[in-house]
Amino acid sequence: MDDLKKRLNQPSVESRQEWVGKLISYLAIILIGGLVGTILVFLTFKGVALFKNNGVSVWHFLSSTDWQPSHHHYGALPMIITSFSVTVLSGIVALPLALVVSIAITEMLPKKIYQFFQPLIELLVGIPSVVYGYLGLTVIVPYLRQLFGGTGFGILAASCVLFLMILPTMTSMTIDSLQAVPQKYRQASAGLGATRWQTISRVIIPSAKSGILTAMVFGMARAFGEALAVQMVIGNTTVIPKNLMESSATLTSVLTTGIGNTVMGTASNNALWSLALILLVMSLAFNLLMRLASKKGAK
Amino acid sequence: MQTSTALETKNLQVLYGEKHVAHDINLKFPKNKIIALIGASGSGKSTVLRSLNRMNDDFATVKGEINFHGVNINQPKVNVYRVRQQIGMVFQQPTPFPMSIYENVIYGLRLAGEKDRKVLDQRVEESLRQAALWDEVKDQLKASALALSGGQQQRLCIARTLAVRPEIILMDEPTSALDPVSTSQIEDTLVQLKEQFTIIMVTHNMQQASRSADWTAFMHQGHLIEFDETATIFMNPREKKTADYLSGKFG
Repeated sequence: MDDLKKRLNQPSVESRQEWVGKLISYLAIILIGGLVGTILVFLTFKGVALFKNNGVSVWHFLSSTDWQPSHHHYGALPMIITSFSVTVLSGIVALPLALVVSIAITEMLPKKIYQFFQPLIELLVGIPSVVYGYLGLTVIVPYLRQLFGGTGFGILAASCVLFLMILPTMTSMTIDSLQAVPQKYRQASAGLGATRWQTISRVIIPSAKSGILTAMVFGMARAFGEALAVQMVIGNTTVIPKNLMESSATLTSVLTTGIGNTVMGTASNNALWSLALILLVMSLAFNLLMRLASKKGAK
Repeated sequence: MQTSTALETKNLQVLYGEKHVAHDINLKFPKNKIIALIGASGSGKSTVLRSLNRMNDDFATVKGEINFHGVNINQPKVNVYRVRQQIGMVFQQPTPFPMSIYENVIYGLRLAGEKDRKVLDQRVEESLRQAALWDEVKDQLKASALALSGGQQQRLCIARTLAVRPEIILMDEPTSALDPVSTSQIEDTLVQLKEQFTIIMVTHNMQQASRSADWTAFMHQGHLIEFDETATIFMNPREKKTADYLSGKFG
């Protein structure tokens, strides 16, 4: 009896394993949380230096169209406008296409075709962005030059490249959300006399709405944050573009172009950090939007 | 048969690929009755039921005739969407769509293009009353149907089928996912409904068949063994297999 009492009160291999496991998990969480926190603090600190130390006003930074760091002109509006233009353009074209492809694959075509397409789409998701950029540089830019004249570099070329990049991501996520719609909905709808098209438009898409929205925002967030592929085809001129075929620059492309050419601590370096801060705030906004979208759907 | 026939199958056969799951089923479903299809798992009763409004089109080959108002509806040229409006189906699992109670009930009407608010409102009340759900939900028609209990959801699905005003309602084990209280509510509902509809129901529950059904068909391994008035089937089955099944010797 006493022996059992003792055994019940003593730690064992199992209880120690539990304890160690818990410790490792908590340490990992603290590490990740610390990393995110440090990045946020560092970026914010660096990003506001331009306004605090170099006497540039936030409003001027956001509204001026003149970006010439060598002459101490720091107006980020052209880049902000271009970044949003390429994001919205590529997103607007990619969304309906992703939706149609996903519906065809999940609702209409035989399962075999899906099994063929799924690894293909996942492969496309995983291709490095520099490959897409190179493709844009060697195929899309010359083609656009032939078609519309000019240099071929610009918002249109960047949107085309981004469209190719985010389409697989958006399609893959949309397929997942359509497949998450219970099979019994499709049967119940058919049992009430619905055609396949009626079932898709009235039950399946509304049920998958939050997932489709999330896919859209996710794709656009990726487009907004993409640097390399965009830099390769956008032309990198920091003026407000007058049309889609004119050379331009996004927040990300200015960052990648400029970061090697400035000295730490100077005003022009600080200005780049401020651009990075805008990017961070925007990706936080995209994240928030995604959360709102999935919450709305869960209701 | 004294009463008129709602639906009739002639040499109905169902095949999944090469596998024969129903052989030569000849059934005459009398009008305004509740007909139960009973049998062990794998006897083919659900398969036969689903074939009756062509729900098996995508999964199986269905041969033979299904006569409805003198038309053999088991032909490719027949409009399946119209067939399913006339012969509705309620499934084993309650399947409310993720929308309001109101929108769920009028789903079939919207499909058919009905837009008149008055007609829709009136049909919602009527169908929910027929499904014995009106008193419980009349103050929350705009609320999500997913918030209802399982039994309420199933009655909602019955109401949704009734709202299309079919002649025949097929039910595939409509109460097997429900608790006894909800089950008896639905059974009571069915008895009310047969005044206006013909109900064909698959059930695993012998008591349910004996309590609610007027006629019962017993199936075994893809064959129709016996089809008669429920009292006859349960008290005096002609076939030994039926008697064995009812007394629990196999199944």
